[in-house]
Amino acid sequence: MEFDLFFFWRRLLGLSVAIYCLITTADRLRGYWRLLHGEERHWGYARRYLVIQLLRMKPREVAWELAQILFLLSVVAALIWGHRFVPGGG
Amino acid sequence: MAASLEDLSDVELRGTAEDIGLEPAAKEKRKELIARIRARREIIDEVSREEFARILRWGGEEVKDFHAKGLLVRKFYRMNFRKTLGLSPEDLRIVARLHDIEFDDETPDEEIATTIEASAKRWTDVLKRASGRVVGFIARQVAGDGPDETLEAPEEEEKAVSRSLKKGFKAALRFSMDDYIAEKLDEIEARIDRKLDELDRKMDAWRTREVRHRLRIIKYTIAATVAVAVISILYKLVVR
Repeated sequence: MEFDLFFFWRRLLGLSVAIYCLITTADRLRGYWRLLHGEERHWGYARRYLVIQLLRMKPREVAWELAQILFLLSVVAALIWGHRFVPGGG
Repeated sequence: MAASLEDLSDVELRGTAEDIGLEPAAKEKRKELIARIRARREIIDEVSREEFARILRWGGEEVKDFHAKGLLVRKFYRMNFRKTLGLSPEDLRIVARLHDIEFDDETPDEEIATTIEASAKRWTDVLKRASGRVVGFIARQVAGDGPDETLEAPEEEEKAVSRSLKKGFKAALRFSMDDYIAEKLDEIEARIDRKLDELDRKMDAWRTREVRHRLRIIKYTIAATVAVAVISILYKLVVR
């Protein structure tokens, strides 16, 4: 299979974004783990406050954003699925 | 009243209850207290401003024409009804109603008066009465008002009376200062509570804004992915 610059760029972009997402998510999770497992008193307060904030969150307030995300995700899925019907490399 | 009882903080609610003569228990639930306040307010609404003014004037309180009914109500519940001599039968019944004392049309006035006086002993601050007695005792001792003590010279008697008066004034001043400080502290506490509520509301708005912002970032990322996928599919169509 011959080398194609576009497909190379596409793979490189996908790989770098995946690594970036992995590192960022791991870092965030580590932060939350510390929040939820700290034994000091202030972490206890922070934990309770976080739970309260989560419970008080109203999904209706961000419903429009969530709907848009779901729509875009379905478009991405459709496009990826559509690739197999177009002959060519990559 | 601008804010409804449900919107008030615990401190403000307790303050409101105390203003209309209720004594909220330490572990009393909000709903129960609100119900009690409403019931008491209904009774207060049945009594006119003029009737409150008349009772307050009987108690030696100063009532000006511009004083609102709310202020008169607060003054009324600070009054001492340990002695009800001179109160008209109509006013006696008003006082009894305003203190949730049960009676009917056939209950004699004397019985109502006795019940009010007996209950008033509970309403008044025990500590204040005790300190009042101590001050009175000291004043009597200094003034020599006791049965077995007599003062010889009138100058000395005058001095003793002056001393006792000074002490009395001091005690009265201290009591009113204590009341004033307690009232101010309550006000400050209520103000802090209001500020905290406001902060909480701001935090809520900030949290929603922050979540929306994060979701928007995710949305833009997915939109970029869609764009790359479209370019990719077009590219495949072109180069095939």
